[in-house]
Amino acid sequence: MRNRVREQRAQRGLSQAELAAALGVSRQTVISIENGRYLPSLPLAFRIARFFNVTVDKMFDPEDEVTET
Amino acid sequence: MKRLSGSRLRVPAVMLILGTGLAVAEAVGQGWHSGILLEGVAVAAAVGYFLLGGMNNDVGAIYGSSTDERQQMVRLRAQALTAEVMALAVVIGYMVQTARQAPTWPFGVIAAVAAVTFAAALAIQRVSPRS
Repeated sequence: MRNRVREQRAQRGLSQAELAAALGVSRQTVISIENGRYLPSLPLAFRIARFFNVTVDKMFDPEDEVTET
Repeated sequence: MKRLSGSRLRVPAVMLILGTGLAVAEAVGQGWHSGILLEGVAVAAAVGYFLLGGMNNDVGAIYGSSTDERQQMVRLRAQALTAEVMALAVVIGYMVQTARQAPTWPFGVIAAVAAVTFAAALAIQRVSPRS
């Protein structure tokens, strides 16, 4: 599942550490989410979407699957 | 000065207490030389665990006290793998002891405790899952 966290964060000029602090997670978790290595829980997905003032389905795209081999 | 979190000290403190108990048992059974040696190992392990908890990365968070949801998941998976390897070790230990015609009850006790704990954990988590 792809997401637009990196794109939204860059638009707002935030560092990964600043976003992590705002969301209450570690910087490593923000990196993992941006790279698509970790799918956040539903509560965290909502926190991310609300932080960027977009809807969850705009932030996370279930149609755009990353195929793991 | 940064105040140390109580939960970061909890695991090293438990390690130190259990290690000291083991060292006392060793001193009583095998002599004070090996007891002191074991106490040294317990202190080093507790200090090492505490220092790992101070690292500014996933390992530090997992050994420390402030994990987020992904780090909790990593820790849970690591604990699950550890439990599976330990269960395998218990089965192998049981087989070896059986072949040697040696007592198998320690492995039986560990297996029974694990089985009961797993059943209880399933029942508890079904009713009130940790989020």
